[in-house]
Amino acid sequence: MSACSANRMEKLSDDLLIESYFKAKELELSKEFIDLIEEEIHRRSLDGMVNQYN
Amino acid sequence: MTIHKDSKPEYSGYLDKEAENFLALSKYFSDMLSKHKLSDDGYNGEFVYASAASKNLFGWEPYELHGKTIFYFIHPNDRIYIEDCLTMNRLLKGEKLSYRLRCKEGDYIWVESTFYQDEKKRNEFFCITRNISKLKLAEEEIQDSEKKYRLLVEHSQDTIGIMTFDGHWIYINNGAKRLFGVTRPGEVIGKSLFDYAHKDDHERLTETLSIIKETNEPIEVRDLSILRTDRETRQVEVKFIPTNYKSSHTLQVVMRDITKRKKADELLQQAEKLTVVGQLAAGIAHEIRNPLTAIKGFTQLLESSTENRYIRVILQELDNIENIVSDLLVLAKPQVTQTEKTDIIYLLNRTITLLNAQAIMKNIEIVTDYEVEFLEIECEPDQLKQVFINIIKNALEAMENKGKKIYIKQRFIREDRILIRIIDEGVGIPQERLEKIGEPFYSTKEKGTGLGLMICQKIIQSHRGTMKIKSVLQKGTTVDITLPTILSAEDENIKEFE
Repeated sequence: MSACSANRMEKLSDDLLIESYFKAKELELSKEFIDLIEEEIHRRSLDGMVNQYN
Repeated sequence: MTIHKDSKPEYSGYLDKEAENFLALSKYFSDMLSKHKLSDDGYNGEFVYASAASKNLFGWEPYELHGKTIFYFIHPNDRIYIEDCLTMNRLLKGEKLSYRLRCKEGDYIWVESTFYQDEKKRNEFFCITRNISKLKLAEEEIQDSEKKYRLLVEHSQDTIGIMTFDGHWIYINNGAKRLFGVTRPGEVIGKSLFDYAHKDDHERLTETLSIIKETNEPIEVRDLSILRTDRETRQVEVKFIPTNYKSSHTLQVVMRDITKRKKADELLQQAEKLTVVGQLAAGIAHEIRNPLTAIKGFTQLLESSTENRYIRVILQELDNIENIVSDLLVLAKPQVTQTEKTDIIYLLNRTITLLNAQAIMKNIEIVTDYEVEFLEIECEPDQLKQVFINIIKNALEAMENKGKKIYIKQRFIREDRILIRIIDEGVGIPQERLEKIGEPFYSTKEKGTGLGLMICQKIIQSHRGTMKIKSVLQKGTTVDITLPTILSAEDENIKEFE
């Protein structure tokens, strides 16, 4: 499944991805959705950027 | 008569010459000739003469028999009967009687004697005796085997009969009662197979019969429909075997009721279909779930940032898809995985509370009737709840007219099995559609996917229960669910369908 989800979010820029992540958290969207974004963040090794704000 | 002369010369001494010549030959007969006294009171039967065949017949030399009464040698059980026949005080003119005679060695043989009497000499009788043991044995064997075969035929699970080439029954066994629904086989005899066969099969039958007439070879006919006297239909497999019965050319017919087998086959196929479709559906659902999550998530993000009237609609439809996908995923759950003891009454009541708002809106009353107030059964509560929700929701949707009721009943069928019956007073389901219910993507509702009842069926099956739906158009639908109170692994008969 991870390959699929990677394709799905490939089109998002890093910034937009991170922005989406925080917005989703803020709006308390479904855990599954947040998991998907987290997965992509991890794939791009952007974990640091997220943790920095957390 | 040399033997006799040597031993007891006086024995045949009084016979005249001609008779003596004849008697001399008699030693070559295999049948014993004998002459007996018959006293006035009837009883006696003393041997006056016995031919040499007596030795071969039952081991006694003629001289040994001399002076002894014949009744002495007759089997006690036959004695009275023979005595009665001989002493009826009428002339014996070749009466044939069979009885058992005791041999010198003590064993008995079956013999047949022909008795003669001279009218002028009523105080004596002649008798020709022959050994019929072999005949008798053969006869007994035939009777035995006939009894045996009759027993086999009469008690056969199959319906066995004999019929003429135009289809009229001459004989039929007890199986006819079960197959044709008659009270005794005699009702069928004289009637035609065509009276019972479904008219769609008549042509095929006629054809088959004419083929057998030509070839004289047995033929098997499969899938013949029999219309019983009570209008039920039975599926049978028939074998026609050309044979001779009472010297006329007939057909032996063996019919096997395969209705149950066919039904089991269908159930199995249905179960298989459910499994295959379930796996397929679950596979698809699994593939769809992630993209769906992404679409929904981003649509929600979009909703938060822009003002767009369509987004509501999109999200609503996405919710619908999500529901279907989660339904499909339930199908893939192969077994009841985590069971716990749950109060089914509480579960039912909770479901009703959940749906009551909808019911009140439609002015429908949900009436409950439980046999007990607390009933713990082993189950997966969330799954069963989903079943109840699906069924009660269906019931609510089927009722357009306000002021009607839904009845929910709980009863014990056995100590360890309960029935939950949900009755609605809705529009009902047409018969031809009823047969297809539970098949995926088949729905009587405009918006339905046909998955609801399929899921119910799957869940109930995995709980080793059964679900049956009965419906009358415009009157309503009844759903019967039976469930075991304890999910034991040994319960094999339901496992088969999984």
